[in-house]
Amino acid sequence: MPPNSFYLLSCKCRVIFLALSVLSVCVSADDSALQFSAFGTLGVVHSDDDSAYYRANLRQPTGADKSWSADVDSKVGGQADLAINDSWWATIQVVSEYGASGNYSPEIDWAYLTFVATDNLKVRVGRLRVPTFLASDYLNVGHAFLPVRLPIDIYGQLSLYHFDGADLIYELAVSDSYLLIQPIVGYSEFDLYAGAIGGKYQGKAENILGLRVSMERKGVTYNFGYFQTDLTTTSTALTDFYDSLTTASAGFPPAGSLLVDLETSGRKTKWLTLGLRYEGQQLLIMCEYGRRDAESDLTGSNESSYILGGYRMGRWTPYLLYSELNKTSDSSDSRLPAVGPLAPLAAVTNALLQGNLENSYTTGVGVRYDIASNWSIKAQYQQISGGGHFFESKQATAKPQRTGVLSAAINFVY
Amino acid sequence: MWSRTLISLSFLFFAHSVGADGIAIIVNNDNPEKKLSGQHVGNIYLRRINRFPHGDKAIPLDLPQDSDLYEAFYRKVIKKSPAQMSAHWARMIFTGKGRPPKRVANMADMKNLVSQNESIIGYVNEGAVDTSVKVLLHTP
Repeated sequence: MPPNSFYLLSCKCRVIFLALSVLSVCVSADDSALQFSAFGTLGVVHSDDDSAYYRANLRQPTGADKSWSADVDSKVGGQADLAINDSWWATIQVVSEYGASGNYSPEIDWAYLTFVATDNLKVRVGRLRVPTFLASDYLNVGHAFLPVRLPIDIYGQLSLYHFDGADLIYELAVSDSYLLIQPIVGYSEFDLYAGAIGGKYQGKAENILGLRVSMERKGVTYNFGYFQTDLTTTSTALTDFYDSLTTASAGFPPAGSLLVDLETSGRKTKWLTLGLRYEGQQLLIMCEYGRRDAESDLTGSNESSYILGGYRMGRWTPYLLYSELNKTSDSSDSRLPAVGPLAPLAAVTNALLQGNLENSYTTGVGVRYDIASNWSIKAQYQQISGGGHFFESKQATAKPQRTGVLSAAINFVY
Repeated sequence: MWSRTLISLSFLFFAHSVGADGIAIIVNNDNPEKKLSGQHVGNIYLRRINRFPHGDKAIPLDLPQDSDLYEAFYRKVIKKSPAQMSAHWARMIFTGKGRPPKRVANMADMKNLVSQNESIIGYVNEGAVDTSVKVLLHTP
């Protein structure tokens, strides 16, 4: 399907939203055909390094430093579900969180129609969230997971989090086993933020194709996920940089081959994830491995993983977590001479390659307290080594090498 | 003196049997099922299966989350704690996979609705079972 069709789909979803708003006036709240739900997190974060902002993802322009920040984790979402009849449902979810524009302007995260084809098969069309990771489709719902935020070494670099398109959900429950198979297809546009390339910039993911296979047995969920997309990232600074390389390649051909390795226009990017989640009445374990392969060295390739373990004692659940990110693409390039007229361009190239998805190691400890079935409060402390890409420098200073981050959050679902 | 001891013992026994009352999974008397496994009950309550083994639609009903029987039912039959269930529904609702069962106010309403509709499945204390409903599973 060409991008235009997806655009039309998202327009249709806006119409559905309007229809839902109108219906909400007509239908009484206890009517089961239309249901409203909401979730939210109010969180504060403190970092012991004042030279850079600690961010939860690559969209946030600022974050936490020595003064507490409520922007890193706070968000609120509302959802309306309408059962049109036994075969058709409509769902819309609007989320307000701190984004690349530096404000909380609400975004439609989900807006889709579900067609229940059989007891085991659903078809969904509209705006959906990328489901291929163990927890990527409920990333915003703090009450649904144990730590304050899901490990950002994996989840923070998933900038493409919703897409316009379609998926199939095939589910099969046989005695104590549950199988889910979910292929996806779609298109997405999103905003990112990096001071090093001029602040807010745009991402576009075309030809998204993916598959999630999840199996649950005796409390253990095994998750396999894969998706690929043709990724384009554009900013004025990047365009200027590519233009300089093109100009340089006229007199110095290696600059041309460097451009081919770096440029970010419709470049194949693949994500593979393997995850495992165990949930008993006391013990909780979640671990995941992710591998990102990008054709563009400027997008960057890496391997990331985490392990999280918690033990429930009544309302208290203390937990430990460890996560890491290891860059597998080059951090420097020697094709441009470090002396002579091309030296400034070589410096920019190496700064861009180095600053992109640096190695990162995080250990953390925290506790969750379930106040009631729909309220929880969490506090955690993390020690982060490296992880430069999640820190947004205030000036052109070196990024912190070892940072302590303290977070507290209250979550609700309604 | 012996009779007094017996009386107080029987009181103790009576009090104990009420506190440890088992859980009965109930359906309508016209429902053709004779028994149901705990796993199938779990799959219906977690919204993974929406039919009885004979193929008819199954609609689960829940008691209020703050009731003792709700907690006992989920711990013993579904094998999940209340905190696990609230996280489960947060994941299901906000990813569009399903919604929790409808809640009724008490066991009397539960029995009443079950006795009126062949598709409904519910749970009550064993002591509350009467001829208006059929029991498919007992849990001590």
